[in-house]
Amino acid sequence: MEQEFTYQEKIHTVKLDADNEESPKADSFKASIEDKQFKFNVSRISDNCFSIILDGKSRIVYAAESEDNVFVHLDGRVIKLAKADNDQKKFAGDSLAFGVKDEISTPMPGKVVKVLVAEGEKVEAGQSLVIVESMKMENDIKSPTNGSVKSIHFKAGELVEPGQPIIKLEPED
Amino acid sequence: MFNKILIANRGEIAVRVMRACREMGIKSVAVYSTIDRDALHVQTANEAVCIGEAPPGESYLNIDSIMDAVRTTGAEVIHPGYGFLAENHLFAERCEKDGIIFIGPNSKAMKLVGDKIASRKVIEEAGIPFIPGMKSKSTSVGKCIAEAEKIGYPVLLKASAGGGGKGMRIARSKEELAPAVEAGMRESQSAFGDPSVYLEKFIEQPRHIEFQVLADNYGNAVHLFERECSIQRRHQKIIEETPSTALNDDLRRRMGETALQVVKVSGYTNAGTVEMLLDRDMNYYFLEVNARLQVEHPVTEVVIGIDLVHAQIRIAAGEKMWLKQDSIKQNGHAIECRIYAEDPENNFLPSAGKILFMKEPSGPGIRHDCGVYSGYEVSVFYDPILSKLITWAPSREICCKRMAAALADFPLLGIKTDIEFLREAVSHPEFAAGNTFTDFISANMPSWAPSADDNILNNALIAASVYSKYARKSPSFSKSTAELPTPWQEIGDWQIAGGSG
Repeated sequence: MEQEFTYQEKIHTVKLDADNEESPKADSFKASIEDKQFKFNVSRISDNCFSIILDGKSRIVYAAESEDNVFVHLDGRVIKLAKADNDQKKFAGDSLAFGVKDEISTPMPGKVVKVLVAEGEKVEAGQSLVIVESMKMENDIKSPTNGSVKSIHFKAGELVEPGQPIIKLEPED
Repeated sequence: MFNKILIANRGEIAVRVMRACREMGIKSVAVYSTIDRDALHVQTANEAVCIGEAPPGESYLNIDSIMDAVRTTGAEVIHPGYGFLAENHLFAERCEKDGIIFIGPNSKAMKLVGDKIASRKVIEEAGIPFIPGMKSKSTSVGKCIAEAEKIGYPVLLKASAGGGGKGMRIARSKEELAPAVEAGMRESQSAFGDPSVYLEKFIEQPRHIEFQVLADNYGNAVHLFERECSIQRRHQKIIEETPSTALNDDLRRRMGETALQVVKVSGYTNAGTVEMLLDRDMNYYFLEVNARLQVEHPVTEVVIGIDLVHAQIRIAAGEKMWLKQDSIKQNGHAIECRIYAEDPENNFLPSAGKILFMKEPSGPGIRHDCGVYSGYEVSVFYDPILSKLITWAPSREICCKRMAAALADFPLLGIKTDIEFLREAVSHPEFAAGNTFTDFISANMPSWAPSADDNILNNALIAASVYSKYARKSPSFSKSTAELPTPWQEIGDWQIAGGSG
């Protein structure tokens, strides 16, 4: 079985096959990622919890999925992997302070507090464009690029949904 | 003893107070907003009443709605938790007027210490050292600018009506001050319903030391020693510990006596915290009194061996102080890490969404005050604190290691949290050395990002593919129902019979 996951904008392919060596109360697997080969056995503890023994190293791994991602916890770390059929979406991260080059939006619901620019105004990368409030904290959204404000779609006091463009920019070429 | 307590709060603190009620044989009442129907505190209480829509102003800050809930449930006592109405003297006065016992300070003392300006006046008269600042609160940018000239930059802007870092900003010049005042007033209005702010002199690289106090209603008080709260981001604490590595026995004794003096001159009752700043020359200054049970109270509880909520309830019930200062001793070391739904890689901005899976850490010396669970949907309306992780150990060194291990053992999947960040902070050599100043994060871990080496990534990819493989096998596997086609989608185009005319 072959699966693709995206991590930090790079696609990784995992080939997973059953290993025919028997192991009591566990399933044996072989996997290859790029040119590396791995052999390990897995004991499924619950829907979200697995014990994996790889090269003698024993780990408890937790995993869960949403529509677009698989989240894994191991060695005290959380790794978020995007599923293969997830096209490079609008959201490059999980913060409020991003945007595709020409569309400023937020990844979670919030309320526009103050729009700091006007249509047609020239802006610089790093310049504050709009203040949005979420969870009682105010956040300054800055321009990712030099350019000018093409259009403004919300005003102070209005609620915004994730992904809705608040401001559209005309990036400088 | 009381029959029924209504907890006018939500999240982990509401759950924690309900635990104490249960242990004391007292019934608990939860209040919840429409979006909080599935919240843990609603599930934990004996009774639950819906008090309004999601925005705090319509629910958790809605005094009339809360008092209605008190009437319908017959609760004779209210515990306000922290934040929301906990330090709202109008709420405390309303309780007194309606004959409902408020678990906290009397409204007069609350009003005095809650007015950061007025309380400073009383402190000044008592000869207690304090930080220079504005003598009255303000909602005027112009006034703030004028006062800043007198105080001298850099200045610290704070909300007059409450704490938790809300409204706080540093301004190093006049140009920085005006926008800071505007933003601070808005945050304060949103968090506490009062936009008033004030300024004080900002002390560089201070240590934030606070003393827990308990006072009965008859003028008897004790302190339960200090908490060190220096590790902060956005002026909000995220790691606290006790004892403080900055204090020696003599300084500790003197600061404790000052804390009791503050309680005396302000007429404070029940549980509270006297905050002080320690500068680099080991001088300490009174900062303010927090007239509430604080978020970080557990570190005091595990090191002193006293349940502060039990104590609060007993004092509110009229019991005379049963603790003697001489027999209050610090035992071992405790650290608390606040688990927030935030993204440390992006300036700690809030992260909302569904907790797909979580497993709480446990073991000797580990305490977890938690307000969430697997499957819970974290919303944007309230403070993003999910839980508090507390470790205790006989020494600070073991306590740090125990905390790092507990944080490593704490999977929480689906939303961004500060768990990995906290683990690196408590494992940092500067933390181990006890060099905890309020600029710890910006000095030692600016623009932090989790380290992702190939080894971890490969193991994660293997884990993800194994998980997916098992997930496909089992049809009952939890999957978003949006992925399964519904009959309506499979039918094809359709319209309501009769046409649109």
